[in-house]
Amino acid sequence: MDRVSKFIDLSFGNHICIGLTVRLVFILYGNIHDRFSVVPYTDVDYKVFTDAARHLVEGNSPYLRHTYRYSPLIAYLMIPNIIVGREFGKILFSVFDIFLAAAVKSLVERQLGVAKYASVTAKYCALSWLYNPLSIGISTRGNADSFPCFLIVLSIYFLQSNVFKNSITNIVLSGFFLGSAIHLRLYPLAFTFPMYLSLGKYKINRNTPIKEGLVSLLPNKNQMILAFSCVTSLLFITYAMYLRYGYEFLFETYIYHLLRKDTRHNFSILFYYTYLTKDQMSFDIVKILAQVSKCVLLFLLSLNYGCDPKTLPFAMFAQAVVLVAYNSVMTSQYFIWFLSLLPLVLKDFKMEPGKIVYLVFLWIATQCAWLFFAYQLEFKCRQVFMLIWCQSVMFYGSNVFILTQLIKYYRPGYAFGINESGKGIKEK
Amino acid sequence: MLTNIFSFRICIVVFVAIKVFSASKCDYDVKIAQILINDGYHRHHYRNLTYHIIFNEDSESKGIYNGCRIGLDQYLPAGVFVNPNELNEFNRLERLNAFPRGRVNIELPTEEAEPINVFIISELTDDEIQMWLPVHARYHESVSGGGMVQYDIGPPKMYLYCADRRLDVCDRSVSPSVTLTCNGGVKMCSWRDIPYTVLTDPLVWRVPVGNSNHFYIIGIGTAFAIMVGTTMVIRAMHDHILKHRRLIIR
Repeated sequence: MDRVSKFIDLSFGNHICIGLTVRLVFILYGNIHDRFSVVPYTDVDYKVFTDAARHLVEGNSPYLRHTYRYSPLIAYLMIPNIIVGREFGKILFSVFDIFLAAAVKSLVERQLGVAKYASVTAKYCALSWLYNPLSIGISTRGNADSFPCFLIVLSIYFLQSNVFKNSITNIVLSGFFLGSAIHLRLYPLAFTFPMYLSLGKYKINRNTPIKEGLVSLLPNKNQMILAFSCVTSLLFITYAMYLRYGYEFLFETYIYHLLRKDTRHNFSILFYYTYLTKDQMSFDIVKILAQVSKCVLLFLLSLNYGCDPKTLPFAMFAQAVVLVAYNSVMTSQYFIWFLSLLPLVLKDFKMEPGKIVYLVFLWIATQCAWLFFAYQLEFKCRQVFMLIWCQSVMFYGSNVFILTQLIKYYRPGYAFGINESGKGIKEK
Repeated sequence: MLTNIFSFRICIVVFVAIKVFSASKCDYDVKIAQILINDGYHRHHYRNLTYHIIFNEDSESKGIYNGCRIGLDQYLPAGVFVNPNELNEFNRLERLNAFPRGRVNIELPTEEAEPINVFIISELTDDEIQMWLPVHARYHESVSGGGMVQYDIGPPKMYLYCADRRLDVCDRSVSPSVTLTCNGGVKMCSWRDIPYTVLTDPLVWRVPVGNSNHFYIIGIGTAFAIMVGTTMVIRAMHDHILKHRRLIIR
């Protein structure tokens, strides 16, 4: 225990070096693993990125690679995979991981202000990302999601930190990074609403006249700047890519994901239902229910937690959980959507350690149970569709239950309960 | 002039003699064992469809095809596919020389996919050769009662091509000529269709399918779970806001 404390007490710079080294070791391991093991360590998408980059190097469209369904920017970033070495992309994604940890530390420090404990609390938050096995695994296997995740955290960072004295510059940069993240992945679109709300000032209660209430809902200067910079950057990058790669880019990067009909097994609660219906029903009440439920929750989370900058990261984190839990396709890579935002809110859960262990165990156990039956289906060709569906329901249930518990124990400003002297629990 | 005519007649006689006397020598004593390794949709191994081919095991003509090229044309039913990108990668690393004849969409379910032919090429350096192909199974649409569906993989067509044209003397009724790509590129060669003996049973790949009778229970169960989950989250938010309004709302 003493060794663990000593390790945690290392300087943040040392932790950054260790975090990067761990990732490099895993990249090296993955290289060796792939040569000898029948189940590859490297993500199948990494080969897709690399093939797309090869097409770019040869002067062709990245979309010549069948199943390349990302922005061409990812393929551009992967060009060194062809020119320098095939592990370049994994190293780049790991570097984004490190940048994300640094951004988390800086952001949390700024959120906590000049408090003595700010630096320690921020370090703990950053370490939770730096040593998260899932973040290490996902980036070193070559999944590109750490890039948009980094852009999202950067967007919050500029929104909530006075990096530049001129607040307009901060908001413009925030909007730029948010727009860029939406260009890469569609899901950050949901974050635009709470981020927009967090810049407003709403003092509406039962005594507020209707006219005054409506006026307070009109966008203020900062909200308009955020919206304008976000939309401009999104449209600018997207239009530039459209000019270069045409409708194929729009279809593969965006439209495909909206119309996606993946009937192969995945974590989603909707998997078996989608498989049975082949997603071809003209009026699908179950799918509509799932979509409406998701939209209602996203809206309510925005209203409840998005209107205050202090609770904005929690609103976005909870939204990411909902987006993943209600998605019609869910793989373990999607978990990074909310795991990358978790370090920003981790400090604010006033929860007993036993409870934390229980929730983590529940999340992992329900995943493992699903994986066991998925293995039986995928690798042993056993007819276990019904059992996989039961496990999908269990996993959905655990995601929802954990979210309700996190909401229940969320105390903005709790900051791990570390008081000014660095000890004890703050009483609320 | 007379000398030319004489030479021409000599050539014809020699050619006919070679044709008559050598045709019987191409008796193609070839055996093939075709094996499907492991289980699952991807069969857990990239060398999952393997061919063990033996030439002239019992005859005195051992090694006569050394230096020639062997081609296997494998027909795959709609439920089985090769991933062209995976094959390209193996081709690029020079671990395999195989390519599908026609377009392959790796994402389609069985009922929407077409059967495909894959051509695998290898150099013959010995009387025995191992060839392989990474194959995958597609999902099949659900059927009443569920269970398993069966994909049958028959033996491939086998071709030989010798650059020095040593097979030209063989009887074309036994091994007809077929024009196919020389080595995967656009250049075409005249291959000989080789008869062989199959040592193994036809391959059967059994894949699980969902039970369409589950539709109502799954639909109702999924909808119910989503409604309960959504209600739980809304209630948690409501309780939290009521209890900690001071902390959350400015």
